[in-house]
Formats: sequence, structure tokens, C-alpha cells
Amino acid sequence: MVKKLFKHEILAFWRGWSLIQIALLATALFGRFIQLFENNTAVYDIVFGSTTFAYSILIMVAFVGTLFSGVTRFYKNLFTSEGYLTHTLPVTATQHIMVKLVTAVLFQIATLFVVLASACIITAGDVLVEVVKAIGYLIGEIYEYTGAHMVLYIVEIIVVTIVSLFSSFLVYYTCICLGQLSKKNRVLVSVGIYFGMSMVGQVVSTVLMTFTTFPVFEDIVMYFTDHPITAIHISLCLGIVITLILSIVFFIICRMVMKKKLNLE
Amino acid sequence: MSTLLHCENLSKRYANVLALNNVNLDLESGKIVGLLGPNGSGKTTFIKILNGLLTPTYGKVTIDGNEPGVETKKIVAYLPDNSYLNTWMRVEQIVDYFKDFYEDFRPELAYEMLERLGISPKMKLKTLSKGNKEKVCLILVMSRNARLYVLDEPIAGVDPAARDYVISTIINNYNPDATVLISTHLISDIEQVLDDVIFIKDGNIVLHQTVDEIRAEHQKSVDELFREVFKW
Amino acid sequence: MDWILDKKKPICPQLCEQICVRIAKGEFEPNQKLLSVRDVALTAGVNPNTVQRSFEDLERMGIVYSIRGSGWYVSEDITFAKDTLERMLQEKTTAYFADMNLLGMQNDEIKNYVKEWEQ
Repeated sequence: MVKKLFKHEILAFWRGWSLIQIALLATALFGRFIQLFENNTAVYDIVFGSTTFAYSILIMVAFVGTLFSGVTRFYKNLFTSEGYLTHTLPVTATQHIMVKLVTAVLFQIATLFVVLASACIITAGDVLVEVVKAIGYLIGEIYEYTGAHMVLYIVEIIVVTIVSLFSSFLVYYTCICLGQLSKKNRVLVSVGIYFGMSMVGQVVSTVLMTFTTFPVFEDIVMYFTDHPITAIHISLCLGIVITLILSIVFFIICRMVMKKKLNLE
Repeated sequence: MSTLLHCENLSKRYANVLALNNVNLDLESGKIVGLLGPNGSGKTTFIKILNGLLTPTYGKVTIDGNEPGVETKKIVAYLPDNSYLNTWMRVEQIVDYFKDFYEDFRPELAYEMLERLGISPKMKLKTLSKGNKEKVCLILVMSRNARLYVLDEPIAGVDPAARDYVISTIINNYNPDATVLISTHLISDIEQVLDDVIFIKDGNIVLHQTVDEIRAEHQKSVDELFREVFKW
Repeated sequence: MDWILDKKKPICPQLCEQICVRIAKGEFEPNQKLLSVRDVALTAGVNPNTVQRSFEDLERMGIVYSIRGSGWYVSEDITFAKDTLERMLQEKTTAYFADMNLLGMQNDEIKNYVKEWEQ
């Protein structure tokens, strides 16, 4: 049953997503193609300039669009009239949330790869070679400084990115689910909850930041400054743990609302 | 004939409204049952609870021994009174969807019925007329070999010829192992096809009898009795 | 193939009556297969259970019999069916005369009226 859910979730997601990705790749191709006519005329500058502008906009659209698609798909498929069909499938709430979440994250990761590919396309040739060389040099420098830790860093960065992707969708899912608890204007309430949560988040981080200036933490700060390599590890791992805990809390809230408090219009 | 649906003291409260009040009910398989009541009587609440779309405040309901959940959703086919088909899919895709999720779904039957209505599998759901959309929904539900069919207002908002089609489809699909629960307020069109009727008023069951018993006892049609019982 | 059913009265006995009438009229011969339960249900727009009960009632009265896996058949002896038709004819005539009486016609006048109407 979960396989079937994935199949249909991917089918639904693919439709809008692929269009943006194709537009992105097409623009990158066009941008590369244009460079063949490079000269010092104003015409070239305008054309190439606008192409690169469009290209950068499309990169933003690609990422934001995938996030937007994932969130609206969650809302539409579960809490509008489509919900009458979705919630009567022989599937548990956990399975519904999991499949939508994983699919959205996978598509976001795919977006990343497409964006990277498009970047390679638009800079193909000498520029790309230079960029790769520069990256190689940078990696070399870091490796010299940190040694084997670099590999660990890369793993930690990948994990924190993935976990953040999950939580990025889960935040919106939770706002949508909590909005369902109200009788009227559920979408408005969801938006309100989102801003509320953001504010709370800001306040909490600011408070925590000020805590770190307390004398108690001076020793810790000293340790961090003296041991930067370990400090980075701790920061990354802390990030992973906190994001993971938040994600789990969000997931539980969504599941609870869907199981116990569902009331479709 | 065994008991398919069993309700015990089923109640649902929303804030300060008691939508269902201590409903006790047993439905046998092989019956076509009418759930009749005006708007706001608790019909929709009851149906949502049967389908696991709402949790009861008190009491319980079991379908074939299970409380509403994954196991019951496998054997319950639900036709809601609004269209859930506002998607980008084509007819063949929604048929495929049903086939994937419901083991008891019979695609050949669905295609046969669609063909008879002149609805091509390649058509986009968005382009169908309202009447056709409703017929597609009905076809999808009736193509399932379910134990309990829950039809919420299957003939409201549909022209008289289409109503005949709906009634014929229900009769054609009759299965002594299954129960059909029809919730409606268009009683005179449907009363001939019913075995039993349940009158529900303000969350309470006020009547549960066979149709012929009602006619014999009151010398009225069910429609006429309904008008009496629910007079304003 | 029209079934005339009054929703104010139990459907089951009405179906029985009408099937009897059809048998008595000769629409179905003795030992001929009747319509299936499903066909009757569909053409009458009626619940199949009701039709089933009607057939079973008719079987009890000896008007039809069933062969497992095959369906329902008209009995050899259709006297009861004929009696039912006769009874219905009587009822209708009595009702007709009663209605006409209400309109002020005496029985003899009614008979003449019918003769004239036929011409």
C-alpha cells in the first residue's frame, strides 16, 4: 500500500515540478549557447544579462516552487474535498504523512541536482574548468587544516541538510494541521500559526544567544575557540539533534490531528 | 444474514452541539437501508464516523467487527455528497488509482459502465459535466465489491433520468453479502428500492423499520410518513 | 413491461398480485420460466429482497416453483392465479360502480352508459 501511495504521490508531484526543471535547464542551455556569440556589443550584454538574470530567478523558483508544491499538495490532497477520497483509503495517517514528506524531500534533493547540472551547463567550457579547479584548491586547503575530520564534516553537513529538508516541510504541515482545529478560516489560521511559530522561534533563539554571554558559558566559549575542529563537530551535531527533535514533534502533532481531530468540510 | 454494522451508544459532541445522541443500531448484510432525516439531523456526522473521517465522543461503532480504521476502509465504499474529483487526472487514471488501493475493485466493470454512458477513459475529469462527474464517482464506488456501501445523497442534484440510472446501478449490484446505506432526503424516488428505513432527528434515531411494515402500519408511503414525522 | 405499484401499500403483496395476473392472462405458460428476480427488480425499480420475498410467497401459495440454480417457473396448476385475477376484476368493478354511484349514477344507468361508450 505504501508503494502505491508513493507511486501516486510522485505522479502528482512530477507534473508541476518537471515543467520548472525543464525551464531551468532550457534557460541554462540557452545561456551557454548565447556565449558562443560573445562580443562587446550592447546587444550581447543585454541578451546575456537578461538570460543570466532569468536563470538566477529560475533557480530560486525551482527551490521555492518545490517547497510550495509540497506544502500545497499536502493541504489539497488531505484537507480539501480530495480529502474525502484520500482519508477513506485503507492507509494510516502515519503512512500518508510519511509518503508525502519523503516524496517532497526527494524532489527537493532532485531540484538541487538539476540546479547543479544547470550550473555546469551554463558555465560549460573554460569557466567550468576554472570553477572546478578553484573548488579543488579550496578542498585541498581545508583538508590540510582539518585532516580526516573533513570527511566527517561532509557527512554531518549532508545529514543536517537532509534533516533540515524534512523539518522545512514539516513546519508547514504542522501549521496546516493545527489550522484544521479551528472551525472557520482554516487557511488563515494556519498562516497565523506560521507567523506565530516563527516569532516564537526568533524569541527563543535570541534568548539562547543572550544566555551564551553569561559567565557560566565563558569556559565553553573558551574551549570552542581553542578547539575549533571539535567546535564545528559539536555545532553540526547539535544542529542535527535539535532539528531531528523538532521534526519528530511536528510529525507527532500532524499525526494526532489527522487521527483524532479530523473534520473535513 | 449477519450483523455487519453495530453501533453502541454512539455520540458525537461539537462544542455545545450534540450531533449524535446515543445511537444504537444494528444493520444486517444483504439489506438496502435508507438513512432519512433533514439537514442537520446527524446523518452526515454518522456517515463520517462510519468512514473514519470523524472520531466519536462516546460509544463505538464496528463494521464487520472492526472499529473504523484501515481494516474497515478496505471493505467500505463511500460516495460522498460532494465531488472529490477536482483533480488533474483523466478517467483512466482515477480508475487505476482505485485499482491500486482497493483490492475489491473491478476495473472491467467500471469500464463497462463508463462505456455505456459514453465516457471515454481518456477524458479529463475537469472537462466532465457535473452530472457526468457524479456518475463517474458512483461507478467507481459501485465497481467495488465492498461489504458496506455508504451513499450520501446519490440522487440529489442529478436529473430524473440519471436518478433512474443510479437506482438501476444499485439494484444491479445487489449482493446478499453487502449492505447499502443510502442517506437522502429525496425519499419518494428511492423508497421502492429500500428494505429498511431509519429516521434520524436531532441526532436521535426515531424509527427503524422495514419499508413494508411502515406501509402496512401507517397506510402511507415512506415519503408521506417522513413529512409527518418531520413537520416543521 | 410496466409494473404499477402503489407506494402507500406494502410492495410485496402488490408484486405477488401482478405476477398472478400476468400468469392468469397467459403471459407465462405453466412450466415456463419466469423473469429472474433481478429483472423484476430492475424493471420495477424495486429492492431485490422484496422481489425474492414475493416469489417465495407465490411459491408458498403454489403458483410458482423454483429449480435450484435455474430460477422460478410457473406451476402446472394456475387456478390460484386465475382466482387472483378474478378477485382483482371484481374489486375493480366494485370500485368503479362505487365511484360512479358517487357521481349520481344508478347501477342500471351505469351499464347503459358503458354500452354507449363502447360504440
